[in-house]
Amino acid sequence: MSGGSGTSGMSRLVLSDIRMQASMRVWTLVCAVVGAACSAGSVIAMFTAVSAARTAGDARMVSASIALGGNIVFFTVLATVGVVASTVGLTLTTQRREHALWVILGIPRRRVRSVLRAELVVLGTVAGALAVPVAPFVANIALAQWTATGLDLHGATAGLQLWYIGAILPAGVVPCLLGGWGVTRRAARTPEMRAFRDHADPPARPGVARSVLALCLLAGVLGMWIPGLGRELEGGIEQRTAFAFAGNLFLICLLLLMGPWVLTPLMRLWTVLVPSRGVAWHLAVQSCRTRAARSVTTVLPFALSLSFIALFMTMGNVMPGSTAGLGDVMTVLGWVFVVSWSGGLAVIALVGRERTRDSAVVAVAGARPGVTTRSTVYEGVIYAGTAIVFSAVFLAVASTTIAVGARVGVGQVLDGLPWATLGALAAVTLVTTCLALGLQAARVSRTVPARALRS
Amino acid sequence: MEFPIPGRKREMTRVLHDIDLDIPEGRLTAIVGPSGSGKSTLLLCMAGLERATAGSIEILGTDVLSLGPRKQAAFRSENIGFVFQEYNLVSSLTVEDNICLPSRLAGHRVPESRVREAMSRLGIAQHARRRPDRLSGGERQRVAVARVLAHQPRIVFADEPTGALDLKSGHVVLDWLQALPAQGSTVVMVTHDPHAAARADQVVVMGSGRVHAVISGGDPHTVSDAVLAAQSKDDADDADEAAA
Repeated sequence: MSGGSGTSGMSRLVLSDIRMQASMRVWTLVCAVVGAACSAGSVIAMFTAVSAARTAGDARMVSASIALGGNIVFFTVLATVGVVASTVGLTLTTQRREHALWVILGIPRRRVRSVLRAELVVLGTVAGALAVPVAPFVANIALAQWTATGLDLHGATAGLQLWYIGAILPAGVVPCLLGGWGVTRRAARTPEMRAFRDHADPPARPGVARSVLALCLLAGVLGMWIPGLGRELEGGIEQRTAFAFAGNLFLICLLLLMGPWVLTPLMRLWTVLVPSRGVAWHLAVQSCRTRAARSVTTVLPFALSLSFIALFMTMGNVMPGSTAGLGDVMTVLGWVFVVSWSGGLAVIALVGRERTRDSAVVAVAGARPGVTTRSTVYEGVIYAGTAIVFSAVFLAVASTTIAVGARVGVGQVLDGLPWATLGALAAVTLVTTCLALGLQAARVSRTVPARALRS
Repeated sequence: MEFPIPGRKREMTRVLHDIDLDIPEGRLTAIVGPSGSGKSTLLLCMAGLERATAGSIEILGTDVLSLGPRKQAAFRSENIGFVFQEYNLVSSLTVEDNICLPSRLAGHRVPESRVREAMSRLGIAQHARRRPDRLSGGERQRVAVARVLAHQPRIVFADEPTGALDLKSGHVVLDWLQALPAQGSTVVMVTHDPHAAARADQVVVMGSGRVHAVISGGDPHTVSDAVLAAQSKDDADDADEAAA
């Protein structure tokens, strides 16, 4: 095969695969568009604020804009990469039979990997292009939020400028590639007959890179907690509290990095404690446990959002003279939540197909109407419950360590927390996941079981 | 069981025509015919999984078309067992849980000894705690048969139960389906395979959505000849229609 025909063959395969899997790819696209708009919007807001401050000769505002904007950009890009990686991973897992067929038909594994990565580039570029009109809108909301928190931005607003495109397109492509790099490698490596026969992959173990990173984060936790909790520092209580807070930030990153090995046991633990003999609950629990990777992917964005909010509110409650209402937290982490929430919902939508066949088997076996719907909604309860339990445990750890750092009682820290807000956020998480799964269950219930089993 | 005139409209095409069929109780009945002859649709209509647009279907003296969804589900979980070509099992449940599922849905428990015995008889006891994705196609099919054995439904519907299996696994599944009537179950099996159909007590030969013949089982050659005759008649009818 000549190089030219090989390239055109690959292009044909890429385009035809994207077209065939359009309904599934659309969710990855949605996440990538949201991520690109939020990341690029934050970058645009930061540069616009810095530029306005420089024009006004306000050096203090320049450094404040860089500090605030830098944090927001960092967290948002991190969330985008995580969410896009999850959706890409799920999409490719669902398509593993097709990819196995490519290998069986003689397409080299390297070519399969190239095709999948080319698809991600196309997807990222489209996402970036779609985010172009949205990102300035995001930037203006961010600027308004910063102004509301007390930053004097000298009336800076983000119009549409040419350089934005240079920021937005990479914000679409880079997370897709970063998120999908390892996933595409694994997808191309999967033994074709295992994939073709729908055999599950063996349980995942933390790889070398993940283990090294986890050790670094653990060192970060201990490195911050030891001085924050156990030593007298020159900066006094404020510095100790800041160290304790930083240790908790490292801890949350560590727990989320090790999500599959943290969230899965947590989910098993609390679902075992629920005394129910109902068949719908049994099916839901077994489904969540069996598809641990899917469950972790679904839980992670919600757990991330709730834990960050809990941490920032605890900190705001303890630090002298500081506040941390929901508005303050949303200024820093608002876009992270938008990205995480859209990712969580996309994952729920993506795994809907898997449910159709199982629901059909259960219906054929004689399930009363409503059993499969209830079971699907219970899955939402399990996902939300795991995120809430995770956040509650994290809140307990964060409150204790920050209280020790600040030399106040744990009870005092807990007393000062806005429980109504935290409760409302937990309720929103529960309602969102249950609603998303309920809608999916309604769609599945319209499928004729016999046809689902024969398709 | 009587099945007078089940018909089903689908995209302006009538799939089944003028079917009047009586399935003997406590026997193995095979439905054979070429692809697209409507045999699987007939089976699904009988089982109440596809709703016939006309006629009536009576199982164990109950008109299944007159039942509402809730009663139909209860009727299925109490009286009917299924073995499909693929996708018989709930992927998130273990082998043991899959075997217990119909009883659990019906609101009662199968004695554990009966579940164990069914698994032992089918040679899958060592896989009790495994999930379907860790089993071969033959093992999955044996789990579906074990479910039927443990649950002991009065009627078993099997749609191409050996279609995805190798010869040996296929024989194991057919042996068990053939043994079920001795336990009091009625078995209705759709198959392409004349050898499998010949194991039945009664063979219903279908073509173009109609019953062409009802013959006795026993001889695979007789079944093959009947299927070929049905196919030839269909081809001739098609040619006549095209000419007209």
